[in-house]
Amino acid sequence: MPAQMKGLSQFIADIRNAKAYDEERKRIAVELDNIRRKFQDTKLLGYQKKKYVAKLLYIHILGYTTVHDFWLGASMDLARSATFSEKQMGYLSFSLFLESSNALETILPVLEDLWGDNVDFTTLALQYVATGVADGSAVLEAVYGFLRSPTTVPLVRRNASAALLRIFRDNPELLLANCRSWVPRLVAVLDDADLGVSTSAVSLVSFIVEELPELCENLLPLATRKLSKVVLDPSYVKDEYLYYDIPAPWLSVKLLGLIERYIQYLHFVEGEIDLPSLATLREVVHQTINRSSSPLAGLQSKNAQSAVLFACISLLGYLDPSPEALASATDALLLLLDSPETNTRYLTLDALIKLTSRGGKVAQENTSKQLSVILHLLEDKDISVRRKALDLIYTLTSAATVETVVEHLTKYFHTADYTLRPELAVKIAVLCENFATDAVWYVTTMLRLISVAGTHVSREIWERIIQILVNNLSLQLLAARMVVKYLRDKALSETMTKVGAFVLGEFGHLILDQADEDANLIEGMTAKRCTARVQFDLLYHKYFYCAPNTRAIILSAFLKMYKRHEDLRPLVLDFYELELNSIDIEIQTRAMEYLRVVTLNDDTKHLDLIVGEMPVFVNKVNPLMAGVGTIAQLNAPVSHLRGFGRNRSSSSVLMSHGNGSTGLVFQGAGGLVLQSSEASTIRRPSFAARNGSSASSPGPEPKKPVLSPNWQEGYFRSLHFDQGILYENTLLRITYRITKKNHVLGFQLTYKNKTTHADITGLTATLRSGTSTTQPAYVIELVTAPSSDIAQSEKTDHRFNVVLRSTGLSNVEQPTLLLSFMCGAFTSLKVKLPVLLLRALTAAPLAYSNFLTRWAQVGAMGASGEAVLQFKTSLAYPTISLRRILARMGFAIIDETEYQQPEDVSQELILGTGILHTLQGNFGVLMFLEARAEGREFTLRIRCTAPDVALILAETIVSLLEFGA
Amino acid sequence: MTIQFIIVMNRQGRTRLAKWYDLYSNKEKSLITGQVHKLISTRDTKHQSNFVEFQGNKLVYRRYAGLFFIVSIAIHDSELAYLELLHFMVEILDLYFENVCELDLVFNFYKVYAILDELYLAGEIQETSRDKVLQRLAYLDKLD
Repeated sequence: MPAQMKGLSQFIADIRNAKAYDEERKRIAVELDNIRRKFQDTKLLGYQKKKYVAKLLYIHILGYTTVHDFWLGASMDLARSATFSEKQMGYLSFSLFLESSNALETILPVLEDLWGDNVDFTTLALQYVATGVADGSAVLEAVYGFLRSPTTVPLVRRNASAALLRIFRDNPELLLANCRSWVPRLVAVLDDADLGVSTSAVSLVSFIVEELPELCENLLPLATRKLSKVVLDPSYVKDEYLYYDIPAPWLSVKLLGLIERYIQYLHFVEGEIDLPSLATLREVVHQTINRSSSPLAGLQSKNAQSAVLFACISLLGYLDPSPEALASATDALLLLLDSPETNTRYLTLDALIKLTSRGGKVAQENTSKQLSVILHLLEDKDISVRRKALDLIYTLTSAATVETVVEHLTKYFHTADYTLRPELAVKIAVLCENFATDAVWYVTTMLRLISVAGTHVSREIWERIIQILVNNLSLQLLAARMVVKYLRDKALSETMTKVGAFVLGEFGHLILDQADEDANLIEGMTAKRCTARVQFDLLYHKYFYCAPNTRAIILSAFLKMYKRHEDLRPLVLDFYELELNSIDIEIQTRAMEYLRVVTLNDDTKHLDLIVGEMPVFVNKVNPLMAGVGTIAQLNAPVSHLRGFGRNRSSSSVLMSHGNGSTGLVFQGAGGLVLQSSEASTIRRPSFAARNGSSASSPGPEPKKPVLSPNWQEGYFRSLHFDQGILYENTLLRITYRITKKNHVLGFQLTYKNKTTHADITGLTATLRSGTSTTQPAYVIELVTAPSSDIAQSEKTDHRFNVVLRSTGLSNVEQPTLLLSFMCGAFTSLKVKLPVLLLRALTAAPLAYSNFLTRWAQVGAMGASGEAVLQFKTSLAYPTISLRRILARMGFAIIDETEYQQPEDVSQELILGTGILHTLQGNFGVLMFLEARAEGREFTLRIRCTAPDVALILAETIVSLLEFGA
Repeated sequence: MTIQFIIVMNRQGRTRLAKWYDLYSNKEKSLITGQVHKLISTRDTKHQSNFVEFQGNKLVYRRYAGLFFIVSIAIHDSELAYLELLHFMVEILDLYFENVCELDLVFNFYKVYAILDELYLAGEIQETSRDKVLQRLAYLDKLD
C-alpha cells in the first residue's frame, strides 16, 4: 500500500462529513473553484496536478458529471509525465471522463508509450486502449506487433491481446478488411506458455470466431490440447494458477466455451471435429465428470469444480456422446440436485435442461428417473429454482411421463406463484398437445386445466383448444358432454364459460339425446336429457355474471342454437330484444345485428351463411409456443444463439395432414401430430449474423485456400511417385508415402524439424476436405495424428486413409493440408494433397488385340466415355520416360513390339490400360497417347467404362506433363 | 463482451466502485445502479441464488460484510466462474489493503481502478494468478 495524497484524503473526508446534500455541494463548488485557479498556474508540479485531477475524478464518481473542460490540459500533462503514478492518473482520467472514442488528442501519449521502451508505460497505454476510449485504428499495427513478436514479455502480450480485442470489437471492419491474415497467428496465442496470456487470448479468439470462423482452422486442435493439458495434466499448471486446488478454472471454462462455440460453427457448415480432438475432448469431459463424483471440501473449490463441470456437460451434447457418457453426465448432475446450496441446485437444473434438450432420448430417460426429485423442486424456497425446475420438467416430459407430469403440474397450480401461473398453464397445454395419445385424456385434461387455471389461462390457450376441437370430429361430443358438467358449477371461471359457450354452440346438438347425469344426481329426476333448452339455460344463467367479451360469445352461441332448434327461437329472440338495451355498445350492436339476421325474411339463407359449420383451422404456427418462455429458445441447441442452429423440430406442436385434410388431427398412437413445423424449416442465418456484422459472409462453401509458395513441385511429384518430398522450407520437411489398396489410398506424411536450434511446438495438422459435404467423392479417415511437438532434427508421422467413394471427383476437389506450428515464430503452411481419380488407377495388363476390341467397345458409349486432348509441353519427353511416367501413374503399358508404330518416325504411340478403383465399383481405363515433335506435342485419348471420367483423367495427365514430370 | 460492468455498493445503495465495460451514458449508469441495488438488496441471501437475470444479462453477486460485489455478465456465461472471480477479486483487495474495508475503497478509489485493470480488461478476465497480480501491484507501487 503506497502513501496516499493528503489533500485528496482530506477532501474525501470533508465530503463524507458533510451532513446534508447542500453542504456537500458547496464543498465541491469551492474545490472546483480552487482547482480551476490552480490549473492556471503554469508552474504547477506533477504531484499537484495528479492530486487535483484525482479530486476531479472523485467528484465525477460521486455523480457530479457536469462536464468541466479545464481538466484536459492537466490530464494530458500527466499522461505524458515520466512518473508512473502521474501517467497512471492521466490515463485513468481519460478513461473516466471521456465516454467514447472521440478523444482524438489522447492518442498522442498512447503512441509515445506504445513505441517507447518503458515496458510499464507500454502496459498502461495498452490498458488504456483496452478501455475503448482511444482511437484503436491508429494503434492497431503497434498492438498487433506486441502479440506477434516472440520476444514480448508475457505481461505486455496479455495486455496487447485485450487491447486488440477492444479495437476489433469497436471496429470489426478492421479485422474483416485488413487483418484476416493475422487470424491463424492470433489463434496460436491460445497456446501461450503463460496462462495469463492464454486466458486473455481466449477472449480475443472468441470474438474472431464470431466474425471469421472459417479462418480459425487451427483452433480446435490448439484449444483442445491446451484444455487437456490444463485439466488432465497435474504437472502442467503451476501452483500460482491453482485456485483452491483447482487448476486454472477460468481458463478451463473459457476454453470449453470457445470450443463449444467453434463446434457449433462446424456443425453449421457441416464440418467434422477431427478425431484426435474429439477423443481428447471426450476424455476431458469424462474425467471431469468422474472427478465430480468425489466432492471437494470448501465452497471455493466446489464452485470452481462445478463451473468446469457445467461447462463440460454443456459441451458434451456436441460431442456425439455415447449413451454411457450421457448417462454418467446426467448421473453426476442428479447427484447435485439435493445440494444445500441454492446456487448449485439452480445451475444443476440449468445444466440438466441443456443436456436433456440436446442429449436426446437417453439423457431424457435417465433424468426422468429422478422425476420425483425434480417435481419436488417445484416447492423450492427460491422462485428462480422453481422456475428452472418447471423448465426442466417441460423439457424432459415424454409420451411416457406426460400423464404423471401433467397431473402433478395441474395440482401444483394452486400453490404456484402468481407470476409463474400463466407460464405453467401454457406449458401444461403444450405438453398435452405434444404428447397426448388418448383423445379422451386430452380433452379431459385441458378442460380441467381451464377450470383450475381460470383467469391465468391466456387467450391463446383456450383458443387453441377450440381449434383442436374443431379440427377433430371425434373429440366434439365428449367435449360437449364435459362442458355441460363444468357449466353446472356456480363458481366457474369465465374462461370456462367462454369455452363452454363455444362448444355448446358448435357441438351442443351432438349430445341432445344423451342422458344428463348430473341433472339426475342433483335434481333426483329421472333420465333427463341434455336438451337444447337445458343447454340454453346453462349459458343463460351464466350470462349476467360475465364480462362483455364473454357475453358476446354466448350471444353467438345462441345464434347457432337458434338455427338448429326451432323450439328455442322465441327464447333467443326475446333475449336479443332484451340485449338491445345493453349498456355495452358491442353487445348492443351484436344483439341488433343478430336480431336483424334472424328476422330477415329469407328462409334463414343469411343465417346459414353466417353460422355455417366452422372450417378447420390451418394456422401453421402454434400460438402457444410464444408463451413457453425462455425454454423455447432452449429447444434450439444453444440458448444464447438467437435463431442459430436447429430447433427441435419433431416435437413441436403443429398441424398435420390427416386423411387428406389439413388440420390438427389425432393420428393413432402418434399423439397430436401436427403439420410440418415452422421450426424445421427455419432458415439458418449466417453465423456472424448474431452480431449484426453482416460484413463477413462465412458461407458453408469452402474457401479456396491460398497455398504456400512452391507447393506445386511436391504436389505434381506426388501425382505419379508413391513417395517423396511433398513440401519443404527452412524449418520443416514433409515427406509422403502413398499406398494403394483398391479404393483406399493410404497416406503417411512425415513432418521433420529441419532446424538444429529450435523445437517445433504447438503443431496442428488439419485436413480440409475439398469435396462436397453432402455427396462426398472421398472420405478422409485419420489413423494417427502427428504429435504437437517436434524436437530438433526429430520427426513425427501423420497417417490417414482416403476412401474413394465414387468417380464423381473433379480435379479441383483435392483436400488441403493445413499445418501450423511455432518454431521461433508462428508459421503456417497450406499444401494440396494428391487425391485425384488418377491416383486410384492400378495397372491391368492387356494384350494389344484385346485392347483394340475393348477400345471399340468403350467407344460405343459415346462422348461421355471418351476424352481427346491435344497439348504441347515446353519440356521434351523422350518416349522412354513417357512410358515410365505413365506406368507410375498406374497404367500397364502395352509392349511396343505388339503393335506397329506409325510410319512417320517423329511420331510415337503409347498404349496403356488400367483399372480405376472406387467404392462404387471398378472401371476399365484405356489410354492412347500419340507423341510428336520429339515429345513436345501430344494427342491424348482416354476411354473409360464409367461415364464422364475420361476427361478428368486426361486433364490430370496433361496438367502433370505440362508442369513437368 | 463478457462483463458489462462491475459495481461495488453498500447496503444503502451507495456506489463504492463502478467499472463500466460497455458504453453507457451517465444517465444510464445512474439508472442501472439504482435498479441493481433495488434488485439485489431485496433478495434473500439465505434461500436465493447469487444470480439474477437483469436486462437481458445476468447479475452475479456476493455480499462481503456490508458491501455487495456485483458483476453483470452475458446470459450464456458461467455463473459460478464469475462468482468465484468476485471472490478472487475480494481476496486481492483484502491482501493488498491488508484487511480491506469500505473506506479503503473510498479513499483509494484510483488504486482500485488500477487493480481492476490487472484483473479485467475490455470486460474480459486477464490474470487469474493471485501471486502474479500482487507482485505486479507491489512493483507498481514502488515505481513512484
